[in-house]
Amino acid sequence: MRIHVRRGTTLHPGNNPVSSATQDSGLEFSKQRPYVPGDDLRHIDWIALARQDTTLVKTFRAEREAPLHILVDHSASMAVPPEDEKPYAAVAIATCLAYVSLRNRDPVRVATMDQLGTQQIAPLLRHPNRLQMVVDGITARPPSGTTDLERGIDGYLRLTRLPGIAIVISDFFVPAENYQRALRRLQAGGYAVAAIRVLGRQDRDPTLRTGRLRLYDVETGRDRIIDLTLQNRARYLRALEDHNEVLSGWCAANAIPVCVVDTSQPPSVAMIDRLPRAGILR
Amino acid sequence: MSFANPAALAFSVFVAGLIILYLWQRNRQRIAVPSLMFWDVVPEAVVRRTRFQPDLLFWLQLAGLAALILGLADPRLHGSLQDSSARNAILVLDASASMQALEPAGRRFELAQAEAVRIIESSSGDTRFMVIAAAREPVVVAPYSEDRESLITVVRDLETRDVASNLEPALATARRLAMQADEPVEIHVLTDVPRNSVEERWRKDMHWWPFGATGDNLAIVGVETSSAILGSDRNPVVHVIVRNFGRDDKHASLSVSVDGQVAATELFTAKPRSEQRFQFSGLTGPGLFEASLQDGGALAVDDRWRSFIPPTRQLRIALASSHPELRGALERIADASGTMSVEQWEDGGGGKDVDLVILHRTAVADLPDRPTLLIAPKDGADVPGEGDVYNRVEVVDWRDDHAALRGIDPQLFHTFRGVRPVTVPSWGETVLTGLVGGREVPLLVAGRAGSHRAAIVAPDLAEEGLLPTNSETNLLLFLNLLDWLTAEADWLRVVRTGESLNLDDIPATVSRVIDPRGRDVDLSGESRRSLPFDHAGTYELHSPGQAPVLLFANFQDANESDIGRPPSVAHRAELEPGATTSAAVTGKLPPFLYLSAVLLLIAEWLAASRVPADG
Repeated sequence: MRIHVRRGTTLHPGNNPVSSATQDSGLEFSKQRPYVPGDDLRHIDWIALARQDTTLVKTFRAEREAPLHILVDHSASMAVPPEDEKPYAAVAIATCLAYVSLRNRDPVRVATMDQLGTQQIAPLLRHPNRLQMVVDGITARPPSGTTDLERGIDGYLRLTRLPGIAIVISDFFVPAENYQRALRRLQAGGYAVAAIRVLGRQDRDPTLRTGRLRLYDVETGRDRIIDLTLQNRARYLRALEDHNEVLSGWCAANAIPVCVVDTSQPPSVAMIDRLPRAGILR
Repeated sequence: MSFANPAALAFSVFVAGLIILYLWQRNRQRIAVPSLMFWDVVPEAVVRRTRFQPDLLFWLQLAGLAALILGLADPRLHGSLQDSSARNAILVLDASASMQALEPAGRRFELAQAEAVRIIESSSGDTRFMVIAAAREPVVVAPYSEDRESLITVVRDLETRDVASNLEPALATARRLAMQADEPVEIHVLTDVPRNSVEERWRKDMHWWPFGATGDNLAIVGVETSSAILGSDRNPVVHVIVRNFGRDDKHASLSVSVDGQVAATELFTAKPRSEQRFQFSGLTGPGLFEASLQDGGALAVDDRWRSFIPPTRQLRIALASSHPELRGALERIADASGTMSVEQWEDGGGGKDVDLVILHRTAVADLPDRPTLLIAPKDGADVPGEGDVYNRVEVVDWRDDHAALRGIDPQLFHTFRGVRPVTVPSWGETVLTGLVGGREVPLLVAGRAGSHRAAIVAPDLAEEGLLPTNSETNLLLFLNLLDWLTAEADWLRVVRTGESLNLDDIPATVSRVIDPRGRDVDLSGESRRSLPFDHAGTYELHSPGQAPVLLFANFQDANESDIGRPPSVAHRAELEPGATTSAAVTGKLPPFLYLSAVLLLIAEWLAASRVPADG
């Protein structure tokens, strides 16, 4: 099993190293070119010189790493309602993906995005033994703050200049333009982007209570008093479905695989079924 | 409809609490959601227009709470017959003494009367009513009638009796009358007797209208008068026993008087549910003795006790006996008593002024014209005997209510010797019975022979050696017998209410009886020879040409004086001022209400787990 993002920029993780124009030294021969003064004499192809009497210089391409960047939304909305356990689902999926990546010798970098900005869990993980650091890092603080994917990703892009595969794990309870701008920035930064939407049972079918309810947004603190009736419940579900469709449609148009993970199901379902079906794993 | 326990309606404040809880929950218990972005499409509820908008859950909770409160309040359906299929009704009014208890809203019986009147007035026009008054015995005071005015008049004219409640015969009578009717009959019982204290078979399917709440009552439950039978000081010592039937300390005073002159007064505090005994001595008779309680609580009839202190007089006894030992024994007793003298009886003229004649081993043809005691009489015309003499006769039976056995436990009698069995004469009845050879023989016979009392003692006291006072029991029996024979009680007796007197026991021909209320007692009819004592006080029995006989009837019944009722059946609120009525007990509504409350709360729980439709 390996992580596969069908449309990336130039990088392929694991056994699919991507050449880099900026890297002219490495272990694997790339091509020959005419010698120009100043070239390293160690790279002169002496055999070609002997056979063709042409001074050529061998160039090499490096086997570059394709790191996996896992960006976990750690805003307050991920913790509500508590029984949905969205943070734990996000941790589980992030850990599984990191394990897969590390097993394929691709480094992993995990970061959370919350009210404190982007928190990098570890510089770059290169060994599965470090996975516990991922778990501890994500669960060290409870989710808090507002969801601002754009700002979080901007912060992350400032932290690292090593493009690779970026997987954003979030409930995406933000307006479409917010996550669209954020994911575009990742793509613009040279990342192959994938999105995993984490939704709980209550998100998909709110059965909070019946009758009149005073709801408040955990991120903004805004109140709204509604009567939870069948009709209003249907309105909610329709709005959520619309939001899902917009996310899916936009991601498809921008070659971003997207997957909706149900927290009520075990992570294995996501790893074996949902993510491969979305094209994130294969 | 009214409520058996209206105090439970105070729990209605929980309805306000429920509303406040709903408002508070709506304001305080906000529900966190990850984002309102999907709820923004849901119209916001308008809360300012109507501050409180209950939902289905609220109504279910309210209904459950109401059912619970109603169940606790124990609703009673009034006995209106308008919607009933029954067109006959029997009203059983308890007229016992405890119904005189004074509640804050009035006397229990007055409340019961008002309720009975209301039942009659609220019935449909063609309903027939029968009214039964229940006291010592049931009395149908109004047969089936549709005449409301006369029925109401009968009910209002009813009076209580100073007797203990005896409800079950009245209920049995009502049930029997109801079963004999061709149409359905409703039976309404208006009483202060707790429903549960009556057997199920009597109260089944009856509408029970309980009255009474207070238990505040202090009662004279007993008076014991004793005086020395020997010696010069014969002044009585009176013990008055007072019991507090209430649940609180009771402050009261007890006065005793003789012939209206207060002899002593005791101020005391009676502990709840306890008795106190007061001793009064130095009372000088003869005279009318009266003990009375002040501040005796809700029931007044048990606050007074009347009795009589007999005179201490010199008793002249004429003895006809050839046995010197008997005479000697009698003289020793006379010396010890100081109020007795013994002289020789001379038949045919001597000793006419004596108070008592004692004939020993005498064949009596005609009894003397004065109180007479026959000791071991020989066979005679007036007192036939058998002639045989038996020894070692054991006592096997006795009449413990006879004055001759007062203070005596007959089981302590030794066997009698020298018993000469007699045939019980027509004027006498056996007081003490012995067993001889497997057959019963009278040992003591007492009765009224003509205008005087007479008694027969079958054992030969001379042979028995009774009188040398070697047996306290025998001596006491003898002295009691002398007292009874010479008592001046024919013109005065002390009785208890609830008892009755056979007028044949009165020597004179009673022509008129005046009860304690000053009313003439009807002596016509079958029961004319039996005088029931239904009221506490003094009965006057008048005979032509003679001084009236006075009967002091005292109310004495601890069960009836215990007027408190258990909280489950005492409906205090109904008896408070301003309360309207009491109510009929069907005893069926509370279980249904409790069940309804449970079902409603289950429904609420189920509804809470579902999302309701718009509404």
